[in-house]
Amino acid sequence: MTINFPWQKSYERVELFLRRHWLILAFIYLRFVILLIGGILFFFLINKLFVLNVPEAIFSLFLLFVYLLIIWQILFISLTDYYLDTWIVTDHRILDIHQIGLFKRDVAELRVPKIQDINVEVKGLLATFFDYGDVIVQTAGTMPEFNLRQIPHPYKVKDKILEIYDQYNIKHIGDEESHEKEIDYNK
Amino acid sequence: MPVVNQFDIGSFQIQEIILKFKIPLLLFLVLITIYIIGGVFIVFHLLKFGLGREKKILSMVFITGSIILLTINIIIFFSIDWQNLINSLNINIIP
Repeated sequence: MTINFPWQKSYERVELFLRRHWLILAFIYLRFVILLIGGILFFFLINKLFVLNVPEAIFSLFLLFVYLLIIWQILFISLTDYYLDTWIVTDHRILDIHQIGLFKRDVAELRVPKIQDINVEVKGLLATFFDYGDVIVQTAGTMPEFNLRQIPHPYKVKDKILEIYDQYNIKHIGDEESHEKEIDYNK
Repeated sequence: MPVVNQFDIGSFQIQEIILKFKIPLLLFLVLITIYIIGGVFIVFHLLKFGLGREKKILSMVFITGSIILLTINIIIFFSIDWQNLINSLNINIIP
Protein backbone atom coordinates (compact mmCIF):
# COMPACT_ATOMS: atom_id res chain seq x y z
CA MET A 1 0.00 0.00 0.00
CA THR A 2 1.39 3.40 -0.98
CA ILE A 3 -0.23 5.41 1.81
CA ASN A 4 2.19 6.81 4.36
CA PHE A 5 1.32 8.75 7.47
CA PRO A 6 3.29 11.21 9.62
CA TRP A 7 3.81 9.02 12.70
CA GLN A 8 4.76 5.93 10.74
CA LYS A 9 7.75 4.02 12.06
CA SER A 10 10.47 2.92 9.70
CA TYR A 11 9.70 -0.78 10.19
CA GLU A 12 5.93 -0.37 10.07
CA ARG A 13 3.88 -1.45 7.04
CA VAL A 14 0.41 -0.09 6.33
CA GLU A 15 -1.94 -3.02 5.83
CA LEU A 16 -5.28 -1.23 5.63
CA PHE A 17 -6.23 2.37 5.08
CA LEU A 18 -9.91 2.83 5.85
CA ARG A 19 -12.48 5.54 5.53
CA ARG A 20 -16.22 5.40 5.91
CA HIS A 21 -18.11 3.67 3.14
CA TRP A 22 -18.58 5.63 -0.12
CA LEU A 23 -22.33 5.68 0.55
CA ILE A 24 -21.72 8.10 3.43
CA LEU A 25 -19.86 10.33 0.97
CA ALA A 26 -22.72 9.96 -1.50
CA PHE A 27 -25.16 11.17 1.19
CA ILE A 28 -23.00 14.27 1.74
CA TYR A 29 -23.15 15.07 -1.99
CA LEU A 30 -26.86 14.24 -2.13
CA ARG A 31 -27.60 16.66 0.73
CA PHE A 32 -25.62 19.34 -1.13
CA VAL A 33 -27.53 18.73 -4.37
CA ILE A 34 -30.89 18.87 -2.53
CA LEU A 35 -29.90 22.13 -0.81
CA LEU A 36 -28.65 23.54 -4.13
CA ILE A 37 -31.76 22.64 -6.12
CA GLY A 38 -34.00 23.72 -3.23
CA GLY A 39 -32.32 27.13 -3.04
CA ILE A 40 -32.49 27.72 -6.80
CA LEU A 41 -36.15 26.62 -6.95
CA PHE A 42 -36.99 28.90 -4.03
CA PHE A 43 -35.31 31.81 -5.84
CA PHE A 44 -37.33 31.20 -9.02
CA LEU A 45 -40.50 30.74 -7.01
CA ILE A 46 -40.04 34.08 -5.25
CA ASN A 47 -39.39 35.74 -8.61
CA LYS A 48 -42.50 34.12 -10.10
CA LEU A 49 -44.87 34.79 -7.21
CA PHE A 50 -43.92 38.39 -6.48
CA VAL A 51 -43.56 41.25 -8.89
CA LEU A 52 -40.11 42.51 -7.97
CA ASN A 53 -38.63 45.79 -9.11
CA VAL A 54 -35.03 45.88 -10.36
CA PRO A 55 -33.26 46.47 -7.00
CA GLU A 56 -35.38 43.78 -5.35
CA ALA A 57 -34.67 41.31 -8.16
CA ILE A 58 -30.92 41.94 -7.88
CA PHE A 59 -31.18 41.66 -4.09
CA SER A 60 -32.92 38.28 -4.36
CA LEU A 61 -30.12 37.14 -6.70
CA PHE A 62 -27.60 38.37 -4.14
CA LEU A 63 -29.35 36.36 -1.41
CA LEU A 64 -29.25 33.28 -3.65
CA PHE A 65 -25.48 33.62 -4.09
CA VAL A 66 -24.95 34.19 -0.37
CA TYR A 67 -26.91 30.98 0.19
CA LEU A 68 -24.73 29.18 -2.39
CA LEU A 69 -21.62 30.43 -0.61
CA ILE A 70 -22.90 29.06 2.70
CA ILE A 71 -23.85 25.62 1.34
CA TRP A 72 -20.52 25.43 -0.53
CA GLN A 73 -18.73 25.81 2.80
CA ILE A 74 -21.06 23.37 4.56
CA LEU A 75 -20.28 20.83 1.81
CA PHE A 76 -16.55 21.18 2.37
CA ILE A 77 -16.85 21.05 6.16
CA SER A 78 -18.65 17.72 5.70
CA LEU A 79 -16.06 16.53 3.16
CA THR A 80 -13.21 17.51 5.48
CA ASP A 81 -14.92 15.57 8.25
CA TYR A 82 -15.30 12.56 5.94
CA TYR A 83 -11.76 12.59 4.56
CA LEU A 84 -10.08 13.20 7.91
CA ASP A 85 -11.93 10.41 9.68
CA THR A 86 -9.56 7.57 8.96
CA TRP A 87 -8.42 4.29 10.39
CA ILE A 88 -4.95 3.03 9.60
CA VAL A 89 -4.17 -0.60 10.31
CA THR A 90 -0.49 -1.39 10.21
CA ASP A 91 1.31 -4.62 11.08
CA HIS A 92 2.00 -3.13 14.55
CA ARG A 93 -0.98 -0.99 15.54
CA ILE A 94 -4.37 0.48 14.69
CA LEU A 95 -4.75 4.25 14.49
CA ASP A 96 -8.15 5.88 14.89
CA ILE A 97 -8.06 9.44 13.57
CA HIS A 98 -11.33 11.18 14.25
CA GLN A 99 -12.14 14.70 13.09
CA ILE A 100 -15.06 16.37 14.88
CA GLY A 101 -16.08 19.55 13.08
CA LEU A 102 -13.19 21.88 12.35
CA PHE A 103 -11.84 22.37 15.83
CA LYS A 104 -11.61 18.94 17.43
CA ARG A 105 -9.40 16.08 16.39
CA ASP A 106 -8.80 12.83 18.26
CA VAL A 107 -5.99 10.43 17.46
CA ALA A 108 -6.10 7.13 19.34
CA GLU A 109 -3.71 4.26 18.94
CA LEU A 110 -4.04 0.60 19.74
CA ARG A 111 -1.06 -1.70 19.64
CA VAL A 112 -1.77 -5.03 17.99
CA PRO A 113 -0.91 -7.18 21.08
CA LYS A 114 -3.57 -5.25 23.05
CA ILE A 115 -6.32 -6.58 20.81
CA GLN A 116 -8.60 -8.93 22.74
CA ASP A 117 -11.72 -9.46 20.72
CA ILE A 118 -13.30 -8.18 17.52
CA ASN A 119 -17.02 -7.73 16.85
CA VAL A 120 -18.69 -6.76 13.61
CA GLU A 121 -21.99 -4.88 13.56
CA VAL A 122 -23.89 -4.52 10.30
CA LYS A 123 -27.14 -2.76 11.09
CA GLY A 124 -29.91 -1.82 8.69
CA LEU A 125 -30.96 -2.47 5.13
CA LEU A 126 -28.45 -0.15 3.44
CA ALA A 127 -25.54 -1.43 5.51
CA THR A 128 -26.43 -5.04 4.65
CA PHE A 129 -27.00 -4.29 0.97
CA PHE A 130 -23.88 -2.16 0.48
CA ASP A 131 -21.71 -4.23 2.82
CA TYR A 132 -20.60 -1.70 5.39
CA GLY A 133 -20.69 -1.62 9.17
CA ASP A 134 -18.81 -1.13 12.41
CA VAL A 135 -15.81 -3.17 13.49
CA ILE A 136 -15.48 -2.98 17.25
CA VAL A 137 -12.11 -3.99 18.62
CA GLN A 138 -12.10 -4.81 22.33
CA THR A 139 -8.81 -3.87 23.91
CA ALA A 140 -6.76 -4.60 26.99
CA GLY A 141 -5.61 -0.99 27.07
CA THR A 142 -6.99 2.16 28.68
CA MET A 143 -9.58 2.57 25.93
CA PRO A 144 -12.12 -0.23 26.37
CA GLU A 145 -12.87 -0.47 22.68
CA PHE A 146 -11.89 0.82 19.29
CA ASN A 147 -14.71 1.51 16.92
CA LEU A 148 -14.09 1.53 13.18
CA ARG A 149 -17.36 3.10 12.07
CA GLN A 150 -19.25 2.52 8.83
CA ILE A 151 -16.29 1.00 7.05
CA PRO A 152 -16.64 -1.04 3.86
CA HIS A 153 -16.36 -4.84 3.97
CA PRO A 154 -16.30 -5.11 7.79
CA TYR A 155 -15.99 -8.92 7.84
CA LYS A 156 -12.93 -8.84 5.59
CA VAL A 157 -11.43 -6.12 7.79
CA LYS A 158 -12.04 -8.23 10.89
CA ASP A 159 -10.32 -11.22 9.24
CA LYS A 160 -7.40 -9.05 8.19
CA ILE A 161 -6.94 -7.64 11.71
CA LEU A 162 -7.00 -11.15 13.17
CA GLU A 163 -4.44 -12.21 10.58
CA ILE A 164 -2.23 -9.24 11.51
CA TYR A 165 -2.62 -10.19 15.19
CA ASP A 166 -1.52 -13.76 14.47
CA GLN A 167 1.41 -12.61 12.34
CA TYR A 168 2.47 -10.17 15.03
CA ASN A 169 2.48 -12.89 17.68
CA ILE A 170 4.57 -15.16 15.47
CA LYS A 171 7.13 -12.40 14.85
CA HIS A 172 7.15 -10.92 18.36
CA ILE A 173 7.41 -13.74 20.86
CA GLY A 174 6.82 -12.37 24.36
CA ASP A 175 5.68 -9.05 22.86
CA GLU A 176 9.26 -7.98 22.30
CA GLU A 177 9.73 -5.21 19.77
CA SER A 178 12.74 -6.56 17.92
CA HIS A 179 12.88 -3.64 15.46
CA GLU A 180 13.52 -1.09 18.17
CA LYS A 181 16.13 -3.37 19.69
CA GLU A 182 17.87 -3.58 16.34
CA ILE A 183 17.95 0.19 16.13
CA ASP A 184 19.34 0.43 19.68
CA TYR A 185 21.90 -2.24 18.91
CA ASN A 186 23.20 -0.35 15.89
CA LYS A 187 23.66 2.79 17.98
CA MET B 1 -55.79 53.51 6.88
CA PRO B 2 -52.80 52.15 8.83
CA VAL B 3 -49.52 51.49 7.03
CA VAL B 4 -48.57 47.84 7.53
CA ASN B 5 -44.79 48.09 7.13
CA GLN B 6 -44.17 50.80 9.66
CA PHE B 7 -42.20 50.76 12.88
CA ASP B 8 -42.94 53.43 15.43
CA ILE B 9 -39.57 53.75 17.17
CA GLY B 10 -38.92 57.47 17.23
CA SER B 11 -38.68 60.54 15.14
CA PHE B 12 -36.03 59.43 12.64
CA GLN B 13 -36.17 56.98 9.80
CA ILE B 14 -34.68 53.50 9.89
CA GLN B 15 -33.66 53.86 6.27
CA GLU B 16 -31.42 56.76 7.20
CA ILE B 17 -29.72 54.75 9.94
CA ILE B 18 -29.18 51.79 7.60
CA LEU B 19 -27.71 53.97 4.89
CA LYS B 20 -25.74 56.27 7.15
CA PHE B 21 -23.97 53.46 8.99
CA LYS B 22 -23.63 51.36 5.82
CA ILE B 23 -25.23 48.42 7.61
CA PRO B 24 -25.57 46.22 4.48
CA LEU B 25 -21.86 46.69 3.78
CA LEU B 26 -20.96 45.91 7.39
CA LEU B 27 -23.10 42.76 7.39
CA PHE B 28 -21.59 41.70 4.08
CA LEU B 29 -18.06 42.24 5.40
CA VAL B 30 -18.88 40.17 8.50
CA LEU B 31 -20.21 37.38 6.28
CA ILE B 32 -17.15 37.45 4.01
CA THR B 33 -14.79 37.50 7.00
CA ILE B 34 -16.52 34.51 8.64
CA TYR B 35 -16.48 32.69 5.29
CA ILE B 36 -12.78 33.34 4.73
CA ILE B 37 -11.85 32.26 8.28
CA GLY B 38 -13.91 29.07 7.83
CA GLY B 39 -12.30 28.50 4.44
CA VAL B 40 -8.78 28.91 5.82
CA PHE B 41 -9.59 26.34 8.52
CA ILE B 42 -10.91 23.87 5.93
CA VAL B 43 -7.85 24.19 3.67
CA PHE B 44 -5.49 24.09 6.67
CA HIS B 45 -7.07 20.89 7.97
CA LEU B 46 -7.13 19.24 4.57
CA LEU B 47 -3.51 20.04 3.79
CA LYS B 48 -2.09 19.42 7.25
CA PHE B 49 -4.01 16.32 8.31
CA GLY B 50 -5.22 14.86 5.02
CA LEU B 51 -3.63 11.71 3.65
CA GLY B 52 -3.31 10.70 0.03
CA ARG B 53 -3.97 12.70 -3.11
CA GLU B 54 -7.48 13.84 -2.27
CA LYS B 55 -6.34 16.61 0.06
CA LYS B 56 -4.79 18.65 -2.77
CA ILE B 57 -7.67 18.04 -5.17
CA LEU B 58 -10.30 18.94 -2.56
CA SER B 59 -8.43 22.06 -1.50
CA MET B 60 -8.10 23.23 -5.09
CA VAL B 61 -11.80 22.62 -5.83
CA PHE B 62 -12.82 24.42 -2.64
CA ILE B 63 -10.56 27.43 -3.27
CA THR B 64 -11.61 27.72 -6.92
CA GLY B 65 -15.32 27.48 -6.08
CA SER B 66 -14.95 29.94 -3.22
CA ILE B 67 -13.14 32.51 -5.38
CA ILE B 68 -15.82 32.26 -8.08
CA LEU B 69 -18.71 32.54 -5.61
CA LEU B 70 -17.08 35.36 -3.62
CA THR B 71 -16.40 37.31 -6.81
CA ILE B 72 -20.00 36.92 -7.99
CA ASN B 73 -21.25 37.94 -4.53
CA ILE B 74 -19.07 41.05 -4.45
CA ILE B 75 -20.12 42.06 -7.99
CA ILE B 76 -23.82 41.61 -7.18
CA PHE B 77 -23.49 43.37 -3.84
CA PHE B 78 -21.99 46.48 -5.42
CA SER B 79 -24.48 46.47 -8.28
CA ILE B 80 -27.43 46.73 -5.86
CA ASP B 81 -28.89 50.20 -5.54
CA TRP B 82 -29.15 50.05 -1.74
CA GLN B 83 -30.68 53.51 -1.37
CA ASN B 84 -33.48 52.65 -3.76
CA LEU B 85 -33.95 49.18 -2.26
CA ILE B 86 -34.09 50.37 1.35
CA ASN B 87 -36.43 53.22 0.52
CA SER B 88 -38.71 50.79 -1.31
CA LEU B 89 -39.03 48.71 1.88
CA ASN B 90 -41.36 51.45 3.22
CA ILE B 91 -40.21 51.29 6.84
CA ASN B 92 -41.13 54.89 7.56
CA ILE B 93 -41.36 56.25 11.06
CA ILE B 94 -44.59 57.73 12.28
CA PRO B 95 -43.65 61.14 13.78
